[in-house]
Amino acid sequence: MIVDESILEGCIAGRREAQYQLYQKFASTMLAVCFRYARNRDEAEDFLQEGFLKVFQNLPSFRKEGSFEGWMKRIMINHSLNEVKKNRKIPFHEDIGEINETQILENDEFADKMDPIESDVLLEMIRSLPEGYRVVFSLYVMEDYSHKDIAEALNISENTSKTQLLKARRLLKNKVVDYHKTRVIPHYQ
Amino acid sequence: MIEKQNIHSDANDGLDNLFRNALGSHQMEPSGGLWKGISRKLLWTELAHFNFSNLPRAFWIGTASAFLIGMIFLVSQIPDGKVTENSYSPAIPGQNYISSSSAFISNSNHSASPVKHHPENTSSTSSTSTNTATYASLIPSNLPLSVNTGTSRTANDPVILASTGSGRNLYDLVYMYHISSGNLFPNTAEDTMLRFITQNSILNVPKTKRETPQFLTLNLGISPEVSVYRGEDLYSTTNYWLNASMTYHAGRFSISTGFDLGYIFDRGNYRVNYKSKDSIGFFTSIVSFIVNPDNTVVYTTKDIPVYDSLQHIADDKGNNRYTYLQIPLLLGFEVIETNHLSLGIKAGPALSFLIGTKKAVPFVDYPNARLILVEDNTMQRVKTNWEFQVGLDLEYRLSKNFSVYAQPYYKHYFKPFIQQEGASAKDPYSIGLGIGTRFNFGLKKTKP
Repeated sequence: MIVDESILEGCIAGRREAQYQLYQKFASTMLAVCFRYARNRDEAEDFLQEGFLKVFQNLPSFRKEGSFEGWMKRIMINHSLNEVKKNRKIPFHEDIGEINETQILENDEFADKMDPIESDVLLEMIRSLPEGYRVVFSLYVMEDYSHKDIAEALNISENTSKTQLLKARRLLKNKVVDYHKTRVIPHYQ
Repeated sequence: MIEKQNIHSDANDGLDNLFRNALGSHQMEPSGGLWKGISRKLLWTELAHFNFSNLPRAFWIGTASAFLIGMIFLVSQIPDGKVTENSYSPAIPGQNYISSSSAFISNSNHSASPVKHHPENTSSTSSTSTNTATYASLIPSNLPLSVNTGTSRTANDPVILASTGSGRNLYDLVYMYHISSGNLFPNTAEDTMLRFITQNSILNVPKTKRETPQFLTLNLGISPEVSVYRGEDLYSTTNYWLNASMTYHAGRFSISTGFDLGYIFDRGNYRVNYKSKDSIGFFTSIVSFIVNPDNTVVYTTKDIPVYDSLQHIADDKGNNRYTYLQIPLLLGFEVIETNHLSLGIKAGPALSFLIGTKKAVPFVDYPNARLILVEDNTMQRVKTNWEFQVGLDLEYRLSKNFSVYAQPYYKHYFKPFIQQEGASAKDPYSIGLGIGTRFNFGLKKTKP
């Protein structure tokens, strides 16, 4: 999503109509991002609100070297994670040794047979995960964080991150399979 | 520092891509009022960081011009509070009582029906007068006035001061009388009425020594204010003060003190220890199995989650309320006064005491959680604080003794609200608007 240079300049100058244009352009996308880390929609909107304030405050420091959307998304994610960490303890399950995720789901053929699933259904599957799983899975899969990044962001070990991801994937895989079974997809008959 | 890496590639790409592709561009429509909330917070942030030096020069020139014009307009509207303005209806219709402006002293009061007065061009007149040398010496030389030098005057006859100039002579006379602080006619009694006459109007001015009005007012009001906390985390809270004060007025000056009861709100920080049963892992349970004819076994398995009671620590926030008693000592100066309106400035120190604390109960909303301990990590508020307050006082008189006021003010605190060693917090400040009613005791002013 490309943003007009004049809108950014207007935001930096503090013009409210430019700020509103920026909000209208990105609010829907960013709310979906915040929702991945929030407990509910209300909390996601709180994250979005404060996140936009930070975006407007920090806009002068945006160096225009990368995409604006990516920069904004990073602010939203960081703010959401900070708020989550500040307000509650995310329950992460204990480490269970060195995890080799590629081996655990090795030979998993179901992915190749997957038919598309509606995004609302997939979102609901992610929402139903325990918070620790959901946060790690979202960071790793949706935001392309590495386990090292996740460990730094959440103050956990890399192994804990891997554990959460592993378990999240396992749960999600089951949910996807179950969903297809209920839909009577030919692959699973 | 977090660095973005390339899209992960492993055996789970199928599952990951399923979610990534479907939800990567997922959108959710925000609530309608969300932008209003952002806009409001932006406004507060801008106010908190407002820097007057960033304003363009045109703004300052415009503001100064508007202020100057406003002041000129207000000053031009100021009537003389001691002057009763009456019309002159000829005692005998059709008769020209006095054809030019003049002033004389009578020992009895006179009245006439009130109408608007219009100064007119005047010319000299002659009448009886006495002690003219004394009066003449009191008249400034730059005023176009002369004293009539009539010869015979009895005790009951009026003293005539006649003007020889034009235009503003009548007002000049009144002005001269007032700047003389009542000493213009020292030999006349206190109840003497000084009467200024033009062709079609009369101004009656009681000759009294001009005294500095002194009186008391009782002020009752409420002041909503926004306090800005300037620590590592800049934020603001809305507080409320109940005001009760007495003000002693002496002329344009005043001094007031009293009691203000403030309800101040601030964040409370809590650490919540709780236990909850969480899934800590899985084991694979065999539900059934089938032995095929070729002796291979097919197992049907199920992942069974294992739960354990885990202890968690979470940080929570609440909104604490603190009650402060504040004793201000404000000096005031009345800048402008009209019949109904007056505008003044007030400034002075105030001392506030913490007299009560009501802490919020932290919101603990963790599913299946068992609360173990709630630690209060809220920083201690200061018990006393000095502040300096400066503001405007705009008063609208509804009657002789009763008025309403509005007082926009700025309050600067001399130390942060929080007791914290080594804190880098700057002194907080508040911006508020006091509104209320004022009752005047013994106000010696003409009823508007």
